[in-house]
Amino acid sequence: MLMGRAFIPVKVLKSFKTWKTGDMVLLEDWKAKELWESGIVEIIDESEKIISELDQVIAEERANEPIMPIPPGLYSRAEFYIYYLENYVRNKAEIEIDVLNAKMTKLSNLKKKYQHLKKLRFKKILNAIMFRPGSLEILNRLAPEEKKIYLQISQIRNEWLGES
Amino acid sequence: MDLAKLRELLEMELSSNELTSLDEEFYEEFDSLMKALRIKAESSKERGEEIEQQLYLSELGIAEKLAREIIRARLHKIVDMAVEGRPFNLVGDEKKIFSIIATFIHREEIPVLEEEIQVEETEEAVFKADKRIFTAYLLLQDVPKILDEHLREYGPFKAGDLATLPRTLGHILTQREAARRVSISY
Repeated sequence: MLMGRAFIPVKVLKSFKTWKTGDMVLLEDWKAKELWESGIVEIIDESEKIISELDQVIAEERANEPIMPIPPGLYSRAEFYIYYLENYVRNKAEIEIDVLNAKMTKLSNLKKKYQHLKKLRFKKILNAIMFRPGSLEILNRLAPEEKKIYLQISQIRNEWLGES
Repeated sequence: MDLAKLRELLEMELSSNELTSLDEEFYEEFDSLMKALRIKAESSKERGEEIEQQLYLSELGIAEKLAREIIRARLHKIVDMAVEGRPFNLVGDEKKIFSIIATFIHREEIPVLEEEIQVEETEEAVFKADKRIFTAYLLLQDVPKILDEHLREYGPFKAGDLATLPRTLGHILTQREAARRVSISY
């Protein structure tokens, strides 16, 4: 859900409030979505940057046994560009086939890597729940959505197995 | 109160098994935010500013979703607290909800909603304005030493004793007609 956790760079296409055409602005994800859909701004496609950020985090997770800290807002940025790429290819029927292919490739990569990272971390969270339930150190390494999973399942684990 | 504040509160709520401490006016402030956004959306519509109206409506939708997530997380914790009988960090109507859930769990009669419902913030006492309220149990028969779920000892008690007990023990004794729950305020 786009709730403003990620900031998205956009280029202003039509003057709006204090912005002039051609201005570059950073907007909260939900606002970038609304203004892009209204034709006021163009999203600056940073999906490749997000893909390489995901690659980096995945590599770090693979290289280390315990769960690693995740860059703030990474999941939200990935979700935003998945939304952007899906809608770009859906709405721009007139775009050249090369551009379409490039966008589709990025979309597929982004989705695959986002899912892969989530699953990789989820496995580590389950492991942490087994051996280190309710640990503040683990909690500080998690994204907000992951914190909920970790704490709730830790509580169930403790009720079943007893506190470790 | 704005989206950033709501996001921050949600993240705090998701980061702990305990109820996060909120301002007593949290729910009123949230209602005011929603009202203000609705008014702004309506005004934008009247001025023919479609994009602004859409932005306000979108903000309204996100605020609503964030608040629902906060409420959902808090309600889970309130149910857990009601089972344990230990209210903490409740604000506004949450106290009423806690009281109703606790009453339901203990199979006691649920008070009519219009009635004043009081919640003790601790097992011992709560300060409400200038008034102190205790929940205690009047022992109706002799009771030997008893242990609660945390292996803390209570008693022995003689018939006629007035004792403060954890809700769970109090409930068991009340059910067995060995004690009667009383509220004392002064």
